[in-house]
Amino acid sequence: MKKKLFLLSSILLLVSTLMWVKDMLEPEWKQYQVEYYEQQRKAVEKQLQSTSGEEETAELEAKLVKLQKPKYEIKQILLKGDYSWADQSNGQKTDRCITCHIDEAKLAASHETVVKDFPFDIYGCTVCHGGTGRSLDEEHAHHGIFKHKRAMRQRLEHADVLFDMWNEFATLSLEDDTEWASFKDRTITGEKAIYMGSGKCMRCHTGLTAPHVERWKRVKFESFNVIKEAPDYIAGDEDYRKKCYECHTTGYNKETGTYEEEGITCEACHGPGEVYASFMDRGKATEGQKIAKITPAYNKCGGTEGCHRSRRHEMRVKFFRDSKDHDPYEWFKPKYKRIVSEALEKKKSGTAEEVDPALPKHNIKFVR
Amino acid sequence: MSNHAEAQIANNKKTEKVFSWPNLVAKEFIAAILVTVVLLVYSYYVDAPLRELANPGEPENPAKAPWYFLGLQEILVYFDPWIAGVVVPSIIIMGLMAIPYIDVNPKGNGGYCFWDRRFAVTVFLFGFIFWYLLIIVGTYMRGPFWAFFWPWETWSFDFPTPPPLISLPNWLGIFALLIYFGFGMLVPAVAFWKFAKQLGFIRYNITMGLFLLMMGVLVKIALRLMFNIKYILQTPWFNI
Amino acid sequence: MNLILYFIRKLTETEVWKSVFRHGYTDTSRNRALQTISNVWLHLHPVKVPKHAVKIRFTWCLGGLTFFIFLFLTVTGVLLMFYYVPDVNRAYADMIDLMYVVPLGRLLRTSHRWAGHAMVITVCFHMLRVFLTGSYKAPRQFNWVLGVLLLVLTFLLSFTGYLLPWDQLGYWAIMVGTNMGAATPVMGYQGPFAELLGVKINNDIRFALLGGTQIDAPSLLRAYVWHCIGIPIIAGALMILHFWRVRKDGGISGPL
Repeated sequence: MKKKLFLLSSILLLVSTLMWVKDMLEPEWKQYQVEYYEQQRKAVEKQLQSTSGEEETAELEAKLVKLQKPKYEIKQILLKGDYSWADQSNGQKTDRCITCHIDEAKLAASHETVVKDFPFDIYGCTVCHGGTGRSLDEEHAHHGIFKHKRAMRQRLEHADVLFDMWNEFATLSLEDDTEWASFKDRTITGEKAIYMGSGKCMRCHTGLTAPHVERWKRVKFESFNVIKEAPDYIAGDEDYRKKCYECHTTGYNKETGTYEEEGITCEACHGPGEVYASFMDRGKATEGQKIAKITPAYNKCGGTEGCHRSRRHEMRVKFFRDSKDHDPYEWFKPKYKRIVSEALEKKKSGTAEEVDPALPKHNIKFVR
Repeated sequence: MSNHAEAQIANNKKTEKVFSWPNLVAKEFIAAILVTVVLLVYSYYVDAPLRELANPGEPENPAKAPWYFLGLQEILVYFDPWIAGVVVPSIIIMGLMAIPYIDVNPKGNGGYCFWDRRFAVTVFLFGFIFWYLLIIVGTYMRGPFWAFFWPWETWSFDFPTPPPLISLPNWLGIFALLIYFGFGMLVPAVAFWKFAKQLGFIRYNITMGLFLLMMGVLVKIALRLMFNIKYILQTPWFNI
Repeated sequence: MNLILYFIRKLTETEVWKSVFRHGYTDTSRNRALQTISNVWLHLHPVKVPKHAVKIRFTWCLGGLTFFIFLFLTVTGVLLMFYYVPDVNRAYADMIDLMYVVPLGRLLRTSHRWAGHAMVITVCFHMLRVFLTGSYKAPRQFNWVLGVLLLVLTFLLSFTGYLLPWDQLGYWAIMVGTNMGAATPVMGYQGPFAELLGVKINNDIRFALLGGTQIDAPSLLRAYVWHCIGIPIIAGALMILHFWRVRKDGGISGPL
C-alpha cells in the first residue's frame, strides 16, 4: 500500500515536472516562429524550383540550409530612454513583440506610412500600440493595446495623450537633442497629420476670434495671390515657383513639392489640423486648443529654417536686374517702397514738401 | 509476577513503538512529494497575480490587505483602527500564547476528544471559525469602498447609502460596558462555581476576560448591524 | 546477474563508499536505528515513535508539511533572489522578466507565491490540530507559545513578501496594513495618546516600518531585507527551538 502510494506520487511528481520542462522548452511564442520559418522555407523551396541561374541557386540553397535549422529565440528591441518609477515606468524599456510578430516584411508592408520615419528597431512598437512590450504572453502583452488606427484614435481622449506620445518619440529618437516639437506634425497613429484647409476653421472662427482671423485673412491668406501676379513668378518654371511655395503656401512638402493650400493660412502656423479640428468637432474645444496653441512654429517665421529672414528674396534679384519692363520697387521691394512713401507722406503733411521726382510713380497697393 | 512488571507491560503496550525508518519517514516523504505535486500543478494552471505597476496616484478600490489579514480589515468596519488593527491582533496573540497556562484541564492530552474539554474546544473552534468567516466576508463580499455585496452580486459603485450611525450616550455606554463585563465575570463564577474554583482566581479572570473580549467583538458587530451603533463609549482620546 | 551483484558488493566494500555510507541497508533493527541516527537530516526524528503518531489521521502531517513548505520557499526564494532586484525602478520589470523570459521563472515565482499562501494555511491548521489533540498541555506549554510566535512570523513573512512585486496589489495591501500600524496607541501618529510622546508621522511605528512617510524605495528595501534575511533567520531559530522542544518535552504527544 505504502509502496504503491510512493510509486504513484513519484509518477505524479515526474509528470508535473515534465509538464514544466515542456513549458520551458516549448514556450507559447515558439509556435509563431516555427510557423514563420516553415513558411519561409516553403517559399524558398518554391523559388528554388523555378530558378535556373547557378549563383542564384547556390544563394537560395544556403538560405534554405539556414531555414531548415532555424534558431528559435526571444527577439527584442531595446529602447532608449530613462526609466524611473516616478515616471511610471520600470526597467530598461524593451519591446519583445517581434518575438511572435516575427515577419518583418509583413510588418513593413502594413506600416508603410510610418516605417520610414519610425524604424522598428529604434522606436519599437508600444509607443503607438500600447500594451506590455516586455511580456511574451499574449493575454498580458496585448492587455490594453491599440490594435488598429481606429483604436488609436479612440485613445485620443485628451491632448495630453498626443503630447506624451511626441515626448516618447523624442526620447526614443537616436539624436540626443531631439525635442518633442519635431514630432508635432504627427497624429496619434504616427502618420503625418492631415491639413484640413482654412475653410473648416473659418466655419466657426470668423465669428469666434474675429480680430485675429480678420487680420490674417486680409493679409497673409492673400500673400499667394499677390505672388501669382508677380512677373518673375509668371515667368519662372516650376522649380523656381517651388521656392515661393515654401513660404507662401500652407503645408508645403519639400519632397513632393506640393502644398495643401494657397496662402499662409491657419494651419501654416497652428499646424495640420487633423487632431485639433476633430477635438473641436467633438465638442472638446479646450483639448483642441491645447494642441493648436502650442503648435505655432516660430522657426516657420524666422531662424535658419523659417521664412522671415533677410535675403530671402535674393533669387529674385537677377530677374529684376535683367528685366527692363518691371519696376523692382513694385514687385521686389514693396516694403521698402511703403516705408519711403509713408515717410514722405508724413513729411508732406508736416512741411508740405514736394514729392521726390526720383521715386517711381506707380501707385500699387501692397495688400488687397 | 509482581505488580510493577505488570504495569510496565501494560504501559509498553499502550505506547507501542515502531521504527521511524521507514514507518514515519516514508509517510513524510510521500506527503512532501504530494504537496510538491500539488504546488507544481496548481502553479502551472494558475499564475500568481501581477497587477499594474504600483502607482501612488491611483488607489485600488477596494484596497485589500493579504487575505489572512482581511479578518482584521473587516473588523475595521466596526471598530476604530487602533482597536481593529492593533489591539485585537495583540490580544489574539497574547490570548493564544496564554492558552496552555490557563487551560488546566489535564484531560484530552494527546488525542482528539470533545466531551472532556467542551468549553475549551468550543471556544477555540468558535474563534477559529469566526476568524475565517470574517476573512471570507472580507475577501468575497466587500466591494468598492468596502461596501457589502453578496457573492452573486456584481460589484458596483452605486450601492445604497448606509443608514446614518448613532453613538450611545456615554452614561449608557459606560453602564452597558459595566453590565457586560461585570455580569460576564460574575455570573459564570456563580453558575459554574466548580469550574471557576478549578481555575483559580487569576486564571478565571484571564480566561473570562479574553472570552468576553472575543464575544465583545461579536456583540459590537451585532449592535452595528442591528441598531447602527457607531460608538459605545466616546472619550476625547479614543472611542470604542 | 551474478556479475552485477559482484560489482555491487565490490563497490560497497570500497573505502570511498564506506566513508560515505556508514552502515548497510539490510533490514535489521540496528540498520533502521542507524538510518535515523547517523543521518543528519533524519536525526530530527527519534529512532522509534509511538504507533499512534504515525497515523495520518492524528497529525495530518501538518507540522511537517509546514516545515517542508518553508524549505520549498527557501529554495525557490533563493533562486528568485538571483533575478529580482529590490529597486523601485526595476522591480516590476524583473517580475515580468521572471514570468516570461527566465527559464522556469514562472514556476519559481508562481510556486513561491502559492507555497507562501499554502504555508499560512498549513500553519493555521497545524495549530488547530495541536489544540484539538490537547498537545499544548503540560509539559508542552512553552512549545505552544513558540508555535504561536512562529504563526505570527509566518504571517509577517508572507506580508513582507506581498510588497516585493511592486504592483498595485502589493502596494495598496501594504498601505492598508501599515496604516493600521499608524493607529497604534501611543506609538502611531494616528493612534490615541500619540501626543504624549510627541509621536508624529515622521517618527512613529509606521515610519519605522516603511522607512519613510510613504511607501517608496526604502519601504521596498525594508520589506526585502525582512522577507529574505531578517524574518527567515528569526523563524529558523525559533523552528530549531520548536523541533528541539518537541523531542525534549516527551516526543510527539499521545494519550498519557
